[in-house]
Amino acid sequence: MMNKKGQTYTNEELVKIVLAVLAIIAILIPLGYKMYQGLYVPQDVLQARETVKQVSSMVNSMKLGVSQNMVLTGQKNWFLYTETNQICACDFTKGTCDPNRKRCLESKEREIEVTGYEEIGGKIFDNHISLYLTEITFTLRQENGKEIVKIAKKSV
Amino acid sequence: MKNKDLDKKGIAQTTVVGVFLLIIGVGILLMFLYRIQYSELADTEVCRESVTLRAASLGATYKFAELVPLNCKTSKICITNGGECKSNFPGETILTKKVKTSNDISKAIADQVLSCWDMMGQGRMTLVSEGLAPKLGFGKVGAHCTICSRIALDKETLNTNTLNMDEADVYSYMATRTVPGKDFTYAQYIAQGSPTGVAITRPEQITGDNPNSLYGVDKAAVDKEIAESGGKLTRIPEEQKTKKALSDIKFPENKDPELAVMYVQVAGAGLKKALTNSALVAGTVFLSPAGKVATVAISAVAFVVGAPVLLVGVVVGAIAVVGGVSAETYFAYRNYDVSMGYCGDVSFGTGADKDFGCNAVRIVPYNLENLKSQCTVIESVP
Repeated sequence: MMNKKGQTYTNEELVKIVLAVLAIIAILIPLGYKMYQGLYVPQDVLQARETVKQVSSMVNSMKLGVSQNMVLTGQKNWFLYTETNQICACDFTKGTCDPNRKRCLESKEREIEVTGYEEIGGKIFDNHISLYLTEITFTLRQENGKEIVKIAKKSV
Repeated sequence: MKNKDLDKKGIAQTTVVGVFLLIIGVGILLMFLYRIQYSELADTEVCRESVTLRAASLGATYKFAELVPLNCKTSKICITNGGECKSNFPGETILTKKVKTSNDISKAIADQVLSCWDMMGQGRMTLVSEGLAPKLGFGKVGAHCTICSRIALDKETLNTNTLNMDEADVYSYMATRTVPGKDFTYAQYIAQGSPTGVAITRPEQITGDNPNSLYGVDKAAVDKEIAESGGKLTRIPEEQKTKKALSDIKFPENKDPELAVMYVQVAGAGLKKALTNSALVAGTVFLSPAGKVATVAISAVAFVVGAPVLLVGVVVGAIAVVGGVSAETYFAYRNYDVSMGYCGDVSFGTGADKDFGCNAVRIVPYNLENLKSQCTVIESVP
């Protein structure tokens, strides 16, 4: 094979060129795509992630005997619940939690208890709270030496 | 042989120095990024860019716009005379504004209003797509809100012998004080910034008979517009106006009073047609439409009244603020009922042209009732 200057490529050069092309196809393109995926966060997921963070902060800042309120401003079809002492928000648009659209944060210091129920796609889901324009109340209690934060919809 | 060894040694040293400098460079860059990551300015710029991108992509295609999230994080502001407002925003980054006078309070709020209006495109950009609302679980129309900032008022330190937060009058401040570094008032700035002559309005002054009250609005032009409208445009009847002055409205009485400064854009079913009319938004975001539409929009603003929706049960100086109907949204929004429901203070009133929408920055007490009454979708990151 000849290059532009009319010189013949050596086998070594050819292998390098092929490897470079392969590297671009196999590594750089997927890497670029992954980076795009990593940078692109849908609006509702962005909101859910921040909500979970704020709920978690509130859980950790609670004091005995003082209840706190918070207004949730996430999107419809997103719900708050607990999962092995993690506070989670998940998209239930398809009737169940979409694992790819779930954001959780572990609470190391306190146990969390979400009470109340929501009807999602005709089914009742216990211990779930809608993220869409809902006001919730946090209360802290002690039980057998454990600190438990209860999260419930604010009663009107 | 000796020379070769020396060369190799030289190359090795050069490489080490190069790598070392590279690490230092990356370190400095990371430190810089870390510093700006949490600054208010960075959040504002990120939001502004996402707004432009959303508007541009809406101009290009509706579908693509659905992929463009508005990356607008709600700022948490604490207005205080020495406190921290930690109970309002536990575990969050709070921007503290230390104030000494009631004017300082007004300034802090006015600055947020201005920043919100600027950040969200000054009413010139369409941010809502027909496809987006259903995707978010809503119908085709609705009021899309972006909560630019939540402002906590540290009541304990703001009510002292020398400072009374109830004396803060955001409206008057915006109408009379100049924007820092500029030679025009907040009101003039907003009016100039709008392609359609947005006015800042105070409920009791929007009688149509008070020639001195409308900022950036030509009253004679409004009168002419009404005369030429053949009954389409009317003045809001006196009894529908809210007489209460902003300075008369007190801050919330609850334990931790908090305000929300939010940008509201009402979406309508006619958006597709609107976008056809206004061509591609991309590259023309600063398009300043003129003529009939602009004039009509001005008259719409001229008849702003205190929205009953907003003021019922509201304790704070709601609607200090800024309403505007951009030409783009004038074309865009074709659902009168929704517009009335959410933009009652920037409407034509009974019997008026039903084809309009609105952009507005509102100051409301931050609570569920207000958010529910103002918004169908909240797009900001809490």
